[in-house]
Amino acid sequence: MKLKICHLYPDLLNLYGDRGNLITLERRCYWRGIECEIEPISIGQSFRHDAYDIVFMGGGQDHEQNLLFNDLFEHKGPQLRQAVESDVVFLCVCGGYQLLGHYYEEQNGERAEGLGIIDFHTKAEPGRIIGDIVAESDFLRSQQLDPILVGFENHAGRTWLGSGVQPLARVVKGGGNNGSDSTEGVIYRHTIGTYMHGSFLPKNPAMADWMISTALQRQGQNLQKLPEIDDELAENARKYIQTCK
Amino acid sequence: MSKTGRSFSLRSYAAITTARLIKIGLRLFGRGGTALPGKTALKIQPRMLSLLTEGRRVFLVTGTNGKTTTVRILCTLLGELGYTVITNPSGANLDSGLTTTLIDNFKVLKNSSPDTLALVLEIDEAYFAKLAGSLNPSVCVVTNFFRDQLDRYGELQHTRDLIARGLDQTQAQLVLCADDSLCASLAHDRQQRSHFFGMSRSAMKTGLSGGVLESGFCTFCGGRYKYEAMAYGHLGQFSCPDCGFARPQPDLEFEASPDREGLVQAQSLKLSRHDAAGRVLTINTRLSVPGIHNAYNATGALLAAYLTGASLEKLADALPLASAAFGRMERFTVGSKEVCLILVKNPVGMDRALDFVMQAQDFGSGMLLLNANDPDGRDISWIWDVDFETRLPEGVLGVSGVRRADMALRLQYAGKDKQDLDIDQDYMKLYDRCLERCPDQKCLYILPNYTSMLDLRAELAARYGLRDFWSQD
Repeated sequence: MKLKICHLYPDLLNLYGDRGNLITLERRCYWRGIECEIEPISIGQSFRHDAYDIVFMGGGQDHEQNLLFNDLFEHKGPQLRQAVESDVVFLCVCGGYQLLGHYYEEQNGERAEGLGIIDFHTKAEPGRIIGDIVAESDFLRSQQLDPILVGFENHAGRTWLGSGVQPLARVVKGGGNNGSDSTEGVIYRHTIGTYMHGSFLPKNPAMADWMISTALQRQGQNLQKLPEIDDELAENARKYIQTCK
Repeated sequence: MSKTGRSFSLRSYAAITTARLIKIGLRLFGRGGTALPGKTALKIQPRMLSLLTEGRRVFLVTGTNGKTTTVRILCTLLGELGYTVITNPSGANLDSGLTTTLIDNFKVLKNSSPDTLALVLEIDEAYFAKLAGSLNPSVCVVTNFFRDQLDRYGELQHTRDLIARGLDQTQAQLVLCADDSLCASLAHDRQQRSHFFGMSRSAMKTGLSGGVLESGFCTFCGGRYKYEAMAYGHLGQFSCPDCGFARPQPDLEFEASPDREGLVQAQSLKLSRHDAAGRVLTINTRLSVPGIHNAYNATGALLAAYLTGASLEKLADALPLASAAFGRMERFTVGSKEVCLILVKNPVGMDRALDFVMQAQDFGSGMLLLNANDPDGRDISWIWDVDFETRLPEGVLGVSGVRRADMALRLQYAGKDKQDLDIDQDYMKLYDRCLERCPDQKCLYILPNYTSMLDLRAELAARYGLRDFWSQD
């Protein structure tokens, strides 16, 4: 068994320990004897929708994020859309998440177009949403997985999901998508968008394993259940965020 | 320079007296208050900082990493040049702490002439824009821009712009790191008053660096920097192929090598001074603080002191007298063992500290402390940017601090077995076990972040009679 993972714009979108998500996917595959190859794809390199089992895109500083717009829209946009529509497992965090929507509107009204792959938009508001976040995911529960997601969020953008778009989770503590409608993140086909970093996957092993097993199933692997991993240390970190003030 | 016997208003004296009374009160209760007295004085006299620094020879040190060590070395150098030096204790680098420092030293301030008195002040990078103008600096040192506490400061480009704004409120000479693209970019529009320090090009590594790339893209045009050679992190010989912005030739550069006497605590420095006519003067000296990052700090401090008109020979002679700042490579002996505290605040700092520990001949055991209080930054995501994978000390590692569970998880993913992690909420009990585990003649290396360092050090100070940090000069 082998998984191919694409890390999109690792040199530009690398804020807040996002690489922890890749470390987690790689290790959890390795511990189970699943081969795993991570390919960094950045500006000027082509992205093919059928070349990867899992795609990851993190968040960046504004300065860096502005640099990739051209490349993203002109060279990768259509292929990315096709990847999403053909059920490739795709994780986007923070800035990467916002890029999947229709647009990002600055406080001064200026708009940066998004890829428009999923029906949502983001508007910046004064005051960043910063802090620990805990959310409960009906989606994970429907998969018979631990529904609690934990992380740390830090964003000025408020994301509003279109009607009929499924949030990844409901906020128990923290701000989530916009700080007011209790939604956090988005799930569409096998694409997940979230504001959680800290990093996201190390502290949410159920989510990481869902990505791995979904990617393997999509390959047609006949897979009952992934072998167990001792996640006691992750559980301790999760507990801390759920119980701290 | 204005006259020294300036008169203070009644309001200013009231502010100073109140602050001193609060300080005495805090001391009675065994507290080393660095913020409250100053905060109160500022309420009474908002212009306090400006009044206390006017006409003085003021050095400001800011940047993300290495401020405290740079300040410490600069103080030593200026002291050796014959100056009476006033400085703020590490951590007291916001307006309130600065005010407290200056009021504490009011007598010295009032009675010394500007020719023999130097103020060396560490300024929090997020407050630099707000404070620089009122502190009347003659020299501003900007150490570097590494990713640090992003939840508090936003992004590096923003931090750089804040510092630029602060610099524009002063006429100060600027001492900038040539190898840090964001730092070197501060010379733009300020060329006449900019001076650069850096590592010798010939001492840098060629080939790609695996380190964290903080700013791989041009500040001015967004082009992707080309690096001919790297020092560490994103520091190196950079150039932008699109707009031509490139690492400036440092006025003072260093080449570091391990000390000949083989002491891990020291290194040899070959300093080269490049003058405007292209002549190069080379001097050899020693630095009693290890690590390339500290060679950067020392070279920045030397260049700042050099701007007073001192001779480079004299400064190079004084450099070996500088010692490590509180909690930063601080060493002490416990029986037949040593203990070394290395403060780490961000990924690059942690990478450097781990490099150092991995190379130390006397490594006996290790301990990591991670808190997430406000001064630390509440976001601990940065531990996932640390390259623990290639820098994991062997054997059992002690883990404590409020976010010990996160650190333990990080170490597990980096390759530590669960049974090789000794995790304990009680950091003193953990310290005892780690020290026990450390063989005789070896050193226990402790890597805490900021508030966990304060907690641990307070306990160690009480136990071993180490000096309190607020009384450290």
